[in-house]
Amino acid sequence: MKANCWYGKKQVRVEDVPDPKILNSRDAIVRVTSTAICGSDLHLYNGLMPTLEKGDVLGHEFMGEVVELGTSVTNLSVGDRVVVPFPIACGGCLSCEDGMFSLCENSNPNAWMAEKLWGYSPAGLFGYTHLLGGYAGGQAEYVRVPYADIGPLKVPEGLTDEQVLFLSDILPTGYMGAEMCGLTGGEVVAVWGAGPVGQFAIASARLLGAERIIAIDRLPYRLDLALKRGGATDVINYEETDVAEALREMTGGRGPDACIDAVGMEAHGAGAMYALDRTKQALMLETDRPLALREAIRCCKSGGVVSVVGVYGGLIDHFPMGAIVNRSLTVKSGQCHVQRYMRPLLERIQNGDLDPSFVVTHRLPLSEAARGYDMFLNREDGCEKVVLKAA
Amino acid sequence: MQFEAVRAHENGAKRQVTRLRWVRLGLETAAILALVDRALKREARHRAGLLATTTALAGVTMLDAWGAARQRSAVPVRLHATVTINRSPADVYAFWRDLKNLPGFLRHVEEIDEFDGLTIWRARGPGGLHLQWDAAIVADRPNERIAWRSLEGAGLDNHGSVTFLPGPRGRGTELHVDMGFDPPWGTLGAAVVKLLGEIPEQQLLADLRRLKQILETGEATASDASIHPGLHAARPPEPSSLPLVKGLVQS
Repeated sequence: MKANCWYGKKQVRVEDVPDPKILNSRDAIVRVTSTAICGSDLHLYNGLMPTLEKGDVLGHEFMGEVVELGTSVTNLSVGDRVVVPFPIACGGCLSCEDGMFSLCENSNPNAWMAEKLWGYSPAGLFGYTHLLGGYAGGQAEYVRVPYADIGPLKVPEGLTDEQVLFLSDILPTGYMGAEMCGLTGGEVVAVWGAGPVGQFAIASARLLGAERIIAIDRLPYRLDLALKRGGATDVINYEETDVAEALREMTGGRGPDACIDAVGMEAHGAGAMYALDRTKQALMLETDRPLALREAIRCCKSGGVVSVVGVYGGLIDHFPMGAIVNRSLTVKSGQCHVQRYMRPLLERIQNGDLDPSFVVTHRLPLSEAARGYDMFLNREDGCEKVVLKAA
Repeated sequence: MQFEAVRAHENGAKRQVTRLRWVRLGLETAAILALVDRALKREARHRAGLLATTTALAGVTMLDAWGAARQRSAVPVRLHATVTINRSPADVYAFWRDLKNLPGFLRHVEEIDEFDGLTIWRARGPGGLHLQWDAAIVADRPNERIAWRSLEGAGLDNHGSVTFLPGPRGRGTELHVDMGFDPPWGTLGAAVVKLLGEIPEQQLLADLRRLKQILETGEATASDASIHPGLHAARPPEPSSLPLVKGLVQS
């Protein structure tokens, strides 16, 4: 089959690789119809995540048709159309029982590697380093899906791929970002990053009752999308405006009740701190550039919540712990427990509360994956989200 | 009664180990004398390497002599690992107590047979070495603890125990496993155990993770890259590489 494989920094190629096989009795093989490039795939593309091997098949946002099932999967049938959540979760460990699916205790066969870096291991992920399991990803014609009786969601008839594809990751991720803010109605929420996850965090904050939602980015087309489709009430372009000043002004000197970091480890920014972080990251002195996170903490209202859904991999410098302690801030984070949100969000899509397909700007065949990565990385041609058609 | 029998076996095994140690010491001394003799006859440029080998061998021999003089096994290896499993202590105990289940997750154990409280273990050692020993179950408290100890002539003196504690708020089982190995061949034997190529304690933890996977999900979890030895591209493996994995379930 054809699959998009990583070969080094800014090098991906669609190659012929062996077809996946059923390895465990709870596996399914899915023929991929649509798959997307995630912002977190760009961290892999840029070579910033450790333990990627040459030849790894990338991709963790995908959907398709079940073509083969292991003997223990009884809730799916060959021919079912499914969306697959990006964290691989068994459903039987204590974390899964508690709904913390991205912390599944059984799905990472390389747990020892993750323990060295993070203390304990989270769940294995599709196409996302060996430290997170070494699973082949979904930017391919076929993919093996472990624990297929737990993760995949059957898609009801009448919905297009683009309406449901993002249930695999970015829609639930954005939603969880808003949910972690603990909104009760009427709040001011600031969202750093108007990429796809930021757009969905904005849309979700609106669904959860926020009154004013401020999108922060540097790209005018993304800020426009946030205003016109995402549901933002205000936007700040940080290359033109001092974010802290603007937020203070917009909130009568209080600061936003909640701040969402939908940027993560490769933040852009202005000034000396950006140059310093960028240099340190290039020299491997710091794995992540936490410019958005630092600013979110600094800008958040005293007693407010900082919700982090942007991806960080390792270590950051100059973390403003003093602001967190002295101003009683709550920091919440996590890789999304996608399995928990798929059904309720599918209902939101079905009843018309949400149409996630508004983020899609580019559609390419799988064979042009490399062009998609390059275009997404360089924000060419107003690129917000690339969907690859595998079939 | 049974416990007394184990004691007698153990004392016998210790005497045998001591005898083996002195035999080995004699052989090594002869080897060193032979090496020194060759070194003196060779050209100077070869001497450095030979002398280094000789020195290392002599060092090992001295440690062996020291160990033999102390009449106890050298550098015992003690391993401990713990994992929480979302099944009741009764379930986890029952699975472990059915010893034929153990090779399914203890990577180095090939087979265990049990009759009348005695067990025969067959295991793979480093470098394709096959080991076999008899062990007695010396403690068996249902749903709480099992302990075992190898008998005379085990080749690799060892003992172990597994304790089943109720998990937090009555959820699951905290499994604590202790294993001890007393290598019979002196310091070198211990070095071999240490240098299995992996870190033994981490390996024991990996074994317990497989047990957890089996009990919580039905079987040991495989990823595309994990079924190959060492790091390998995370892509579907060639069919020919599949049988490398022991216990891999294919349907």
